Amino acid sequence: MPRAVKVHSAEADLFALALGREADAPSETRGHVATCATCARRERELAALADAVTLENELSEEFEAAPPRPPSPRAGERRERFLALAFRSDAALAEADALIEDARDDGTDLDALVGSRIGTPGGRLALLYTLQRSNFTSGVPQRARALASAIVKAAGRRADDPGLGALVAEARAIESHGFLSIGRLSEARESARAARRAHADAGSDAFSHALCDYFEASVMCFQGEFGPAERLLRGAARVFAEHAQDHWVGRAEGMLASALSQKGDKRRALAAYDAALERLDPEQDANAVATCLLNRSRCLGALGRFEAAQQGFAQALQAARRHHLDALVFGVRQNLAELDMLRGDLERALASFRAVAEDADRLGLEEDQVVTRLAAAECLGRLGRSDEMIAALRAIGRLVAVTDLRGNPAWTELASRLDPGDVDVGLVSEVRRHVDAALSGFTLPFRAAKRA
Amino acid sequence: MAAGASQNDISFGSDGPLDGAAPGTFPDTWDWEGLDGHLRPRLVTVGIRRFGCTAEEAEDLVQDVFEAVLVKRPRVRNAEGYLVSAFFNRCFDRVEQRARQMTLELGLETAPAGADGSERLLNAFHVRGAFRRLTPVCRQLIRSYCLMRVSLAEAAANSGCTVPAVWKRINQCIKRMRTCLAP
Repeated sequence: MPRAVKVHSAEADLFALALGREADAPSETRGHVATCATCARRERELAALADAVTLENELSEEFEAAPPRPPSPRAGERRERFLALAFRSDAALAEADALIEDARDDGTDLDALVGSRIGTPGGRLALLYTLQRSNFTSGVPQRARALASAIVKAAGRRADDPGLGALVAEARAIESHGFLSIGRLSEARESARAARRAHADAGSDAFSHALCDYFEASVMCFQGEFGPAERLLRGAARVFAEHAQDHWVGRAEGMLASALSQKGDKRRALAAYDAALERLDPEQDANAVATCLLNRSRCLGALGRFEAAQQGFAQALQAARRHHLDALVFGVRQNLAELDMLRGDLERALASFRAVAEDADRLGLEEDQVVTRLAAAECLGRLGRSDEMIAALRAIGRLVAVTDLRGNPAWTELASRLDPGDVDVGLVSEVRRHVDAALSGFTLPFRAAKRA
Repeated sequence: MAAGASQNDISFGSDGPLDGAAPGTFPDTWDWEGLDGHLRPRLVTVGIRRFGCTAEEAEDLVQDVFEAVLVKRPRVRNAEGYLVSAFFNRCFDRVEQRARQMTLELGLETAPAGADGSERLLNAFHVRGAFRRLTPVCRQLIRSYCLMRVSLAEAAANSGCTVPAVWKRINQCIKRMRTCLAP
């Protein structure tokens, strides 16, 4: 006997009832709420929400209309102290910009750079601002990580100095970002956790903790822990929104979209990418915007919406070129070739992958040299040009030997006995999937394919 | 790992150009005098009126948040929004602390929940954040539906769409906002 399914009332109908707007809610809803404990509870929650909306509005109006109060006896002193600190902050910001130029240079002794500043409040603030400058930490993540490690080391030698908590916490977070960018996931995770502990010790606010959640969740997305990452990102986005930092909300939404996409939920990922793009500034958040556009287009392609994907890639390419984001330009071109393949236009995909492979050679992107050539080889196989495919795979073998992909089980299986039938049993595309995953820090379980 | 998962989405979370590119410019110049003159008296007033602070306590809290924002200046783009939220958070902490103290003094097992209206204030604070996550059109729709009490038909006419479309949008917004309330 089929089980009866209880249909609960819609949110909007319950909200109308909670607002006392019975006319907007169907009569069935009124009757249902009277007998359903779940919907009665939901109606109470929505009444609290309606009350909160009203109170929020009152607070906003009250805030804007607040009459000036007579200054207290200490008001002048407080104001003066704040303006003096603000002046010091301006100076530290200028020093941070100079520090970034020095720190970018591989020849700079970062220990000395840190050592000469960590002992003074102004120097510490300049170091802190340097770490918080995203054009530095994202532009040259490994130098930023090296600077962060130098700060942690120097702070360790001054264990009795109580004023270093926020600086150490920030350094740990930047270490995490740096480790993530080179795929050292467990170290990235540990650094993010250390950042959270350091913030807790320093008594930092909710915003700082949300940043730690963001950094840790970014790592978790690449460790395949999508559910916990999603929860952390949602919480972080909420805190960022409460602090009115839309660009951080956008980043959290973008990372959430990546998690959903990696989990395979492309439709929800699309909505999250749209939410991210609404909040990011095309100029100030150029890299994040271009990245979102690129990843969003990948989702569209995966959903078979090829025209929309192509348009999205064009937008991403335009943004990346305008801001000289070379790695993203490369990424877009690689994905456009992938789109041709998905569409089944194999001749075009082959030409595109070959062109992108040449770019990878020019840019010295070793792993991408392999990935793009593997895709070209797959195109050849699918076009029935088996001899050329085998030759291409042999050539790839010589490249793999000098990269981190050596020892990849999927590649090892393929390379153990090259066979024209490998493309038909899906082994070449399986290898591509594994190599792609390895580049992102993932390890997929490998089961040897049944080969002809 | 879910079948069909795509693992090589490009890592997100950077907003600066890559190595070798020209560094971006950021709006670092904050109007300290303006922030101080506009925000300080308003925050003090709200602290006194809504959170039961004395003038001295409210001024101390405002001073704290003004000084605290300086240590994360490059991370903060909307200084006013940050300062207001940080101040409210400090006020909530203070209210909680007061409630705990009251519990100890009165020998109660738990403080009377929300007896001082702090829970309502906290909800309003969360709604403020939730509004920021809605699109401007949705924000306007929810405000006009809740506060100005426009009818669904009026809302539809104002936004140039059908009544079912307005109903659907309200439904989606409310679902999203409901999750923002304090547990």
